[in-house]
Order: sequence, then structure tokens, then C-alpha cells
Amino acid sequence: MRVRKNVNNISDGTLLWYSRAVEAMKQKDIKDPTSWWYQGAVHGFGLDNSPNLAPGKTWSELSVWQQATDFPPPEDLVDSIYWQQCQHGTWYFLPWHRMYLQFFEQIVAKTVVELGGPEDWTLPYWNYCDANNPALNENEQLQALKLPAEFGAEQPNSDFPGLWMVERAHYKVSSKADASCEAAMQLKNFTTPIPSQSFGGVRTGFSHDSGTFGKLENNPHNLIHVDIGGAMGDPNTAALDPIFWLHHANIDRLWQSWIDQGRENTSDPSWLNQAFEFHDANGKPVTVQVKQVLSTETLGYTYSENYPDVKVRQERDSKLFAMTPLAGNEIFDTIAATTKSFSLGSQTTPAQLEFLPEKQQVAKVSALAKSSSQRPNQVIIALDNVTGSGVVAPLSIFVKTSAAERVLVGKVGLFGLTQASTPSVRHAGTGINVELDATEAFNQLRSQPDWSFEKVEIELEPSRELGEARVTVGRVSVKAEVV
Amino acid sequence: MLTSTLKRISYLKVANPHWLIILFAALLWVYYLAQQVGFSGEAHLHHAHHNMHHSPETIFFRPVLDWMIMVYAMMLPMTSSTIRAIVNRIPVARQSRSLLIFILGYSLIWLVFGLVLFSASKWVETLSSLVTQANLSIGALAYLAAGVVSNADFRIRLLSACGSIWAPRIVGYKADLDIAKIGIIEGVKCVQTCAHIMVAMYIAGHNLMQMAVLTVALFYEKSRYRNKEDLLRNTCFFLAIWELAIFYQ
Ligand SMILES: [Cu+2]
Repeated sequence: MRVRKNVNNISDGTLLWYSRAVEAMKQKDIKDPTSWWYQGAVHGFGLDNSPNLAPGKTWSELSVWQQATDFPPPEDLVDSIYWQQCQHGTWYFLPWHRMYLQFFEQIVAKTVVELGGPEDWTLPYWNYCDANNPALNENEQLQALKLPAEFGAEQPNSDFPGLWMVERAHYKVSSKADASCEAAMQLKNFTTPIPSQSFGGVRTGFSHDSGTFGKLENNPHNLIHVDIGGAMGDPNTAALDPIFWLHHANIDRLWQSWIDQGRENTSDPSWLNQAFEFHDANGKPVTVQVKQVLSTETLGYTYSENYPDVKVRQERDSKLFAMTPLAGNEIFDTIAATTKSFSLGSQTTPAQLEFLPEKQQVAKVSALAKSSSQRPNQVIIALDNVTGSGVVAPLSIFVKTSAAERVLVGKVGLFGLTQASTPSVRHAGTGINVELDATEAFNQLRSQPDWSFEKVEIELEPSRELGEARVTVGRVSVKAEVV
Repeated sequence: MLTSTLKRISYLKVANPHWLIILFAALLWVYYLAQQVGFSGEAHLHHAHHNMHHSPETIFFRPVLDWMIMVYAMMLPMTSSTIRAIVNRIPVARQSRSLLIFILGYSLIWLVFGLVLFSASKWVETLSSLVTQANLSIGALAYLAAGVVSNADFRIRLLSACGSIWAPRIVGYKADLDIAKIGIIEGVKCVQTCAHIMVAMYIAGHNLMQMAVLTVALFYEKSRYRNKEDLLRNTCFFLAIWELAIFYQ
């Protein structure tokens, strides 16, 4: 049984062999299923030449892909059932990426052996969640936000040239809030009708491009992608960055860790039976169903114990923790929404809300205030039809009432923005939808003296300049639980 | 016990806000079956050129009604993801009203399409008799053509667009307007993705079995769609062979 370990806790040759294997795989032809390029294109492929992968840089999808060996690939390969398959904005997000990692790990391991390395090369994971680990001190927490030194910072680490990527905008995650894994881990259900209550995402068909994000997919997954930015910020180039695989190993670990808490995946047959296509380490086509990858042990690997694991959770649960997770069958009423789409600037952009007349409200947020003995009524802030282009830094969503200080609701990673905004064989072009749990933020607002729901304002703010990126928000709305 | 059952039901309703629509479509299928069993032959699901001997109003209304019943039975189940998207984005107090407006907008497009089809029915008849004289099965040809269209790029693009809506406004007539727009857009998308099937059925003179086969194929294609499956195309080819078998038997 291979054990995937925290990259910060290993001192053996894993990263050295990874670096060598990456270089060897880059030498291979883009048509070779075991090449670095082919593996990257399985996730996504695109040749947009807009320089919008990072502000102030000339990087584009095209400039990244042009570096591929034997570029350009033949048209029929681009449109084949093996390329551009990554599943985002869907309940297939976790199982698809598990399969993807599994075959990638086999291919790298085989390459390592061919290069004269050890037999048991195993993919490590990058545990940025540690940035919020209460057992660590501030320094250790901040360390978790940084890419491991082997991946370079500003310039390549000369011992590990294969782990470097020119088109990487940042070498550390900008904020602990972009790596907060706990919130998703608290959810009870894999799939519900409510995206922000769904650990694994919402029910969809085959979903290559981003649509409606589940909790884990938005935070931390999407936020890490767009925070590192550059190639990592765009699904069509992300998997070409060697850190991508360690990021996804961590996401895969969080799924396993969530299951270890005693949670269950959905038993819906259309989820279990969905099949995806890959190539194995010998370059042979394989078809895998979701139900075949539900146990990592059957697949031959486990994860080392790490935060947020079962033990930490049990400790935390034993303390009194006010928030009881929802069962997922709550009804939410949409009680306020913007009436026009608006574009986002690099600074703060307010969302002009229209409030549902009180007599039409089934859920009354203003009345939710006092009952502190029970679980507070849940409030959700939803962003719908977010369209645009380019890589956008994590977007912070705030609420406030006129005078008082604003409160952070959460952050949104618009990973796959360009693809979701372009009508194609793979997407309607209606953009990204994402929901944030605003219950805590509203609780804080209610304690302010001049609280009244009709005074609530919502603000959106990207954590960095937009640069060449463009964002239009179709609608912002507030939903409250009906009780 | 009772409360837990009620909770369960309310959960099913939340998870499947389109349940009423599905129920309605299911009832239409029951109606079809009853017709088939009850008065075999007399009550055909069939349209224009079978109704020649009836009074003027039945010539117009009967086929239109039949057409819309067929649309509802076959096409309403396809709207479930759109309905889910609407319900998630509109105030609870507006939900029933919004679903009604959505269905009206959606129906309008199919109605217009049906009327266009009927106005071409003379032409279809002529074509049909010509082809039959040439000792070919018009039904088989129609399904063959439908099969070829099934894998066209524009269809696949539209299929992946299913259930993706532009979020509506939530207050006043503007909310209704936005919902009607969603219905119309969805209707247009649906006509574009399924028109070839409906036309083929119209030309072939649908029988209930073929209709059921196609509905299942469409539903499967929609919910389990992968960019590799040639399911609908193959179903159409299968029906073409079926038509040939009937024709030459
Ligand atoms: Cu990813």
C-alpha cells in the first residue's frame, strides 16, 4: 500500500524523482498519452491568445501550450473523448480527479523506474489547510501557505528544475481564508439541492466546464487555483504546473478524510455508474466508473494522518461548537436580489439589492435575530451568472449595514471563468454560479445597533488587480432558510 | 412517525421541484396507454392527414391538441433541470406562478413549431406518396435523416446548455417577464435539439412504442450525456430499420 504524504514532511527523493520524471515526460510527444503535455490536456486544452493569465504578464493559454513537444496536436485528438475531460461544477468533481491522479501517479512512477529510480514513487500532497491548523504556531501556519521550496520562488530551485513553471503568478497563497478546509469538512451531505450545503457538488450531467460549485470545490480548491494564478488559474493550462498534482492530492485526501468522519457518498446510481476515459501507464485506454474509485485502499494507496483529520475533529467537536450542519433538506427563500448585471472593478464594487416586499417573504431574516438557543437560521449569498475572461484573484464578499464595519462572508474562486462564459459544445455560456454560507456574517450584523435587513449592502472585492481579466456578475441574491 | 414521513415528502419536493411536471407527463402516458388498450384503431394519436373527414374545427383543433399532448408527454420531462434552476432562484411565494409562466413560454414555442409543421402537412403527404410509389419507406427515411442530425455539433452544444438559465429578477412583473423569457429560450433550445425527432415521428406516423423508445432515449441522452454517446443517433437508425420491417413485411 502506497502512502501519500505531506510534502512538507518528506525528506526522501520523492520530489527529486518527480522533477526528473516531469522533465522526461516533457520530452515526449504531445500525442503520447504518457507525456506531460497529453496528461495536462486531459484536464483542459485551449489556445486563447489573450494575455489574461496574470496581471502585467504576457502569458496566455496559447503561449503556454506552444511550448509543448510537437505542438500543435491533431484536431481529432483535441476533440477526442480523452482530452478536455476535467469535471468542474459537478458532483463528478471528486471522483474524476481521483481517477485522473491515479493514472498520473502510475505514469510518473513508471517514468521514475525507467530513469533508474525507486519502484514505489508516490504522489505527495500539499497541505495548505495547515494554515488554519490550531495545533500549529503562526509561523508554521504561514509556512503552509507557501509552495514547497523545491518548486522555486521567483526563480527555479536549481536542484529541481522540473518543478518550476514560468507561468506561475504567485508562490504562496495570499490569505489563510483561501485555504480554509474546515467549513467544507463540517457538511453532512455529499450532494443536496443547495450548492453551499453540498460537500461534493451538485447533481449534473457530464460537466467539463465550471457551472455551480459545491463547497469543497470552491474553498479551498478554486481559491488555491486562482490565488497561485498564471497557468494554475485556468483549467486549460492548470495541470501543466507540477504543483497542480499536489494540490489535487490534498483535495482527494480531504474527500477521504471526510468519509473517515463517518460521512457517506451519495448512493445515486447515475453518480455511481458514470464512466470516464483515461490512459494507463502503458498508454492503453481504460474506462473507469465512479463506483470503482470510492475506496483509496482498493486503488492501492492511503494518506498519512494530517490536519484536518479525524482526531482533530473529535477534539474540536467535543468543545461546544455552535454551528450544527444542515441536513440538506432545508427550503430557502430568495428574499433580495440585484436587478441588473454589473461589472467588477479592481476596487470594491457594491451590489444594488432589491428587497422582496415583506408580505411576500416566507423567510423573514429580520425576525431571525434572537432565538440563540437553537441553531440560527441559515442565510446564503448567491452569485449567479458570473461571466468574463481571464484569471481573477480570489473574490471577497462582504455584507454591511450603512454605518457599521463590513463583515467578510467568504471568498469565491472563479476557476474556469472564461470557459463557463463561452457557449461551446461543453458549456451554455451562462457563467459560474456560487453560493456562500452567510449565516455567521448575518449573525454579526444583527448584533449591530442599527440592524435592519433592508439596510444590508453587499460588496465584492478582488484581492488583487484584475489586469486583463474581465468579470460581469449576473445577479447577487440573499436566500434565507424557511423555518 | 407522521412528521418524519412529512419531512421525507417535503425533502423529495425540495430535491425535485419538478415533480408536478413529471406527474403530469406520466398522466399523459397513462392516457395514451388507455387509448391504445381501450379503443384500438379509433383513437389514433395521429394528426392532420388522418382527420380529413371531420368537421372544420376538429381539423384544426384536434391535431393541435394531439401535438401539444405529445410535446408535453415527451418534452416536459426534459425540462426538469431548468425547473430546478428556476425554483432555486425565485422567491418561494412566486414559485407556482413562475413554473406556470415558464411552461406557457415553453409551450408557445412548440405550438408555433407545430403550426408550421401542419402548414407543411400537404407537402409531407405528397412527398410521402411519392416515396411510397418509389417503393421506399418514408418513415425509415425520416428516422435515417433524424439519426444523421442527432450528432451534429449544434445539438451537442445545446444539450450541454440544458438547465443553465440567466437568473431572474424577483419582484413584480419584471420577475414574470424574466421567467417567460427563460421559458421561451428553453423552448427554442428544446425545439432545436429535438425538432428533428418530432418531425421524423410526424412523418413516420408515430406509434406509441416508437414514441416511448424515443422518450427514453432522449431522457437518457440528456441526463447521462457524454460527448461520446451516439445513443440518440443509434436509436433513430434502429427505428429506421423498424420502419423498413413494417414497410416490407
Ligand atoms: Cu483543480
